Amino acid sequence: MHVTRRSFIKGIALGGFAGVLMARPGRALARAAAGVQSRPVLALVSGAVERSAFLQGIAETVPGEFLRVQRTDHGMGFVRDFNQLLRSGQPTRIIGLVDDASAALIVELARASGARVPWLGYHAASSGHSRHRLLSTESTRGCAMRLGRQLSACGAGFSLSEQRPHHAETSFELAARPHNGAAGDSDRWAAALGFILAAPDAELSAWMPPSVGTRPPLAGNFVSFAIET
Amino acid sequence: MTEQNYAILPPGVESQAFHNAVQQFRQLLGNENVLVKQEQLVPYMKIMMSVDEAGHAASAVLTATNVEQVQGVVRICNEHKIPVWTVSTGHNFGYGTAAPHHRGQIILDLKKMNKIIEIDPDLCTALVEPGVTYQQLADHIKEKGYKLWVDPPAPSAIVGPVGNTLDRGIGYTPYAEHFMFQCGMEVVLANGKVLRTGMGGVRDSNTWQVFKWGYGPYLDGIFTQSNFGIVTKMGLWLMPQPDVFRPFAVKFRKDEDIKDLVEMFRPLSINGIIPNGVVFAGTLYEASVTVRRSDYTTEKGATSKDVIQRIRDEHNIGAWTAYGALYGTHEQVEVNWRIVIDSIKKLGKGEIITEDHAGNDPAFKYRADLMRGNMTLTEFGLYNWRGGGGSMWFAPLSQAKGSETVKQVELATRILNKHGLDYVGEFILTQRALHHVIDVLFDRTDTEEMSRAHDCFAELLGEFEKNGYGVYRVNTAFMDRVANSFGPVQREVNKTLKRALDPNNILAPGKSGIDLDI
Ligand SMILES: Cc1cc2nc3c(=O)[nH]c(=O)nc-3n(C[C@H](O)[C@H](O)[C@H](O)COP(=O)(O)OP(=O)(O)OC[C@H]3O[C@@H](n4cnc5c(N)ncnc54)[C@H](O)[C@@H]3O)c2cc1C
Repeated sequence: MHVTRRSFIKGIALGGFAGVLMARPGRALARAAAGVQSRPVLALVSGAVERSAFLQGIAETVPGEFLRVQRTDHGMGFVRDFNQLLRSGQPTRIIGLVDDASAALIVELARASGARVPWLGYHAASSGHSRHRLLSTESTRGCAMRLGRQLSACGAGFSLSEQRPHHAETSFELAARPHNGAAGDSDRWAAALGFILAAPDAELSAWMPPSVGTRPPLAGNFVSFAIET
Repeated sequence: MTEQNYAILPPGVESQAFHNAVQQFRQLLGNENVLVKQEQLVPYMKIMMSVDEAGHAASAVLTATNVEQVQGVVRICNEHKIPVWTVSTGHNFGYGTAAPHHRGQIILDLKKMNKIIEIDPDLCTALVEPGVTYQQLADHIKEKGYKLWVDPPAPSAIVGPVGNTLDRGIGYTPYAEHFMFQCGMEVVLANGKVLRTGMGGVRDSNTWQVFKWGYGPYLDGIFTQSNFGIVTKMGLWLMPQPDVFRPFAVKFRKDEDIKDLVEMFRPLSINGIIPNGVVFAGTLYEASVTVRRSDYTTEKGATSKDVIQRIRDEHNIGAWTAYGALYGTHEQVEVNWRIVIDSIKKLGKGEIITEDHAGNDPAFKYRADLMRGNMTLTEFGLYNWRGGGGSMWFAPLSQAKGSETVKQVELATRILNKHGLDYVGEFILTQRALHHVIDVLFDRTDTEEMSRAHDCFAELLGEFEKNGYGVYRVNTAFMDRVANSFGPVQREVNKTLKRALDPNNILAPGKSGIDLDI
C-alpha cells in the first residue's frame, strides 16, 4: 500500500476497526479533561499492529477526523510515497509502531528529509512481559515515565529503559514482574504507547488503557517513533 | 535546553567556545543548516550497534550546500579544535549509520550537496556530489534516455555512490567493486585547500573521469575509509546497458556444498564468463526475505539445525543459493550460458533456476534487480529475522577457495551459536576474493543479548585474526580494535599521514582507528 495523500484512509478504516474506535462519545470528555488538543496525526502501522491496542490508544486522544492510518512495508512504493509526504512541505505529525525493517527506512528517510524525531522506541513483547528501550527528547520529556507508570498499573511484567542522550539528566530504568493473572493485559503497553505518542503533553495520570478484550496480544519486536515535519 | 547550555560538547571544547563556534556556523550556513535541538539530533542515532547510543551522540549537525561552505566548516573546526564526522547520504547501516565515531563530534551531513554535475553517455562516466543517491542517478539516466546502468549496494535507492565508495562498498553488477570503478575526486583538506586527484589537477583537463592514476603517487585510496579529507565530488564509471541480461540462481542442498560451488564459480569469475559480483547466500540470509525467526521459534538463543532444515524444506531454500548473471550480446550470452550449464552439470549437483523458473519468487526477483542495477529494498527483511534493531556486519575477506569458505563458515557459526546468535551470511565473489558478509543480528531491547552480541563480535574478530583473516570494513565501535589487526606499522603510517594532513585532528578522529589522541 502506498502513502499518497489521496490514499489515506479517513478515520480508522483498517481491519474494520472504525466502529470500535469512533463510537465513543464519552471519550471526548476525557480528551477535554486531559487537555488534549486535536491536530492531524498520521499513524503508521505494520503487521499485527493494525489489529492491536496501539490504534485504540491513539483514538482515545485523537478524534477520528484528525487521524489517518497507513500500513507500511519496506517496498519501493512505500518509500517513494513516504518520501514525497515528508518533503511535501505540509507540517505533519507522524507516529507509528512498525516492524524493524520498516522502521529502519522510516527513521532514515525522516532524517534525510530534515524532519525532527522527538521519540524513538524499541519494544519486544511476549505473553505477560514486555521490554522497552526508549530515546526521548525535551518535547517528549516525561513520556517514558508515564509509559512506565501505565505498565506498572497494568500488572504485566516489563522492563523499560530511557536514554536521553542529549540531556544532562541521567537515563532511568524501571522493571516489574507480572502481578498474578496479569498476562491477559499484556497488550496494554501498546494502547498506552499509542495514547502517549499521540498526545505527549496530555495529562495521563487518571487514564487507564482500555482492556484488550479477546484480541491476541501483540507479540514480537516493534519500533515506535514520533516524527514532525 | 538553551543553546548556551549544550548537553553534549565536543571533547575538550568548553561550552562558551562551542557556542561561539555554533554562532560562526550559523553565519556561514544559515540557521536552518545548524542543528542543535535534541529532536534534530535523535534521527542521527539509529546506531544499531551493541553499545549505548550515548557514546555516539553528536553535539551538533551541520548541512553544507557547496565546497566553499565545507571549507568554512573546516576553518571554524580548526579554530576551535572541533572534531567533525562527515557523511554523504549517511545510511551506513550495520557500520554505525550516521552517528559519529565518538560522543561530542559534530556531524557534517552532505545530503544537500546533491548535484549530478556531469554524465558523459559516450565515455560512460559520471561526476557527482556526495548527496546524490543511486535512485537520483538512475532517474536522471532514465530521464536523459542514456543506455547506462548504475551499480547500487543492497539498500540501493536511499544510499549514494560517494558514501558507499568511500567506505569501499560493493554491489552486484560487473561493476561491483566500487572503488575499482571510481575515477577522480575533489577533496577539501583539513587546511582548507581543495585537492583534485588524478588528472583533476591539470588545468582544463577533460580526462579527470577517464584516467584514474594521474601522475606521481596515486592518492585516491588514502581518502577512502579514512579521515584525511572531505570528499566533495567523485567521478565514477557507469556500465553500458548490455543487449542481453540473463540472471540465474543455482540452489545447493547441503552445507558442505559451499566448497565445490566456490571451486566451480571461481574460474568462471576470473575468466570473465560470469562478470558480476556473484553471491552465495546462506539459508537464513535467503530466508529473511520471507521468513521471520518467530514464525518458527520464540526461544532465545541460536536457531537450531532442525529449525533451519524445516525452513529449507518448507520454503524450498537451499543451504546455499548462488546468484549470478550473464551480460552482453545475444551471441556472447548464449556461449557463456552453455559454459555455465556445462560446469554445473560436470559438478553433478546444483539446481539451476532461470528467471522463467523463478516466477514471482521475491528472493530471486530482488537479486536479479541488484544484478541489473535496479532499486530494491527487499534485503531490509534481514532486520525482521530476529528483530530488536541490532545489526553489525562482520565482513572478513576470504580467498576464493572452497576450503577457505568452509573454514570461515564453520568458525563463524560456532562463535555466533556459542553466543546464542545465528549465522546469517553470504559471500560475494569478485574474481579472486570473497567478501564474506555476516549480519550479526540481535535484539537491542534485551541488554543481556546486546552484551552477548558485543562479546560475540569481539570474539569473531579475535578468532578470525588468529586464523589470518581480516575484515574489509567495520562499525565505529570496533574500528580501533580492527586497526590493530592490520599491524603497528600500518597504524603508524596512517598516524604519520594524519599528523601531516590534519595536525589538529579535526577530521573524523577514530575513523578506521586513526586518531592523534590515541
Ligand atoms: C539490508 C542491507 C544491505 C546492505 N548491503 C550492502 C551492500 O550490498 N554493499 C555495501 O557496500 N553495503 C551494504 N550495506 C551497508 C550500507 O548501508 C551501505 O554500504 C551504504 O551505501 C552506506 O551508506 P551511504 O551510502 O549512505 O554512505 P555514508 O553513510 O554517507 O558514508 C559511509 C562512510 O563513508 C565516510 N564518508 C562519507 N562521506 C564522506 C565524505 N564526503 N568525505 C569523507 N568521508 C566520507 C564516512 O566515514 C561515512 O561513515 C547494507 C545495509 C543494509 C541494511
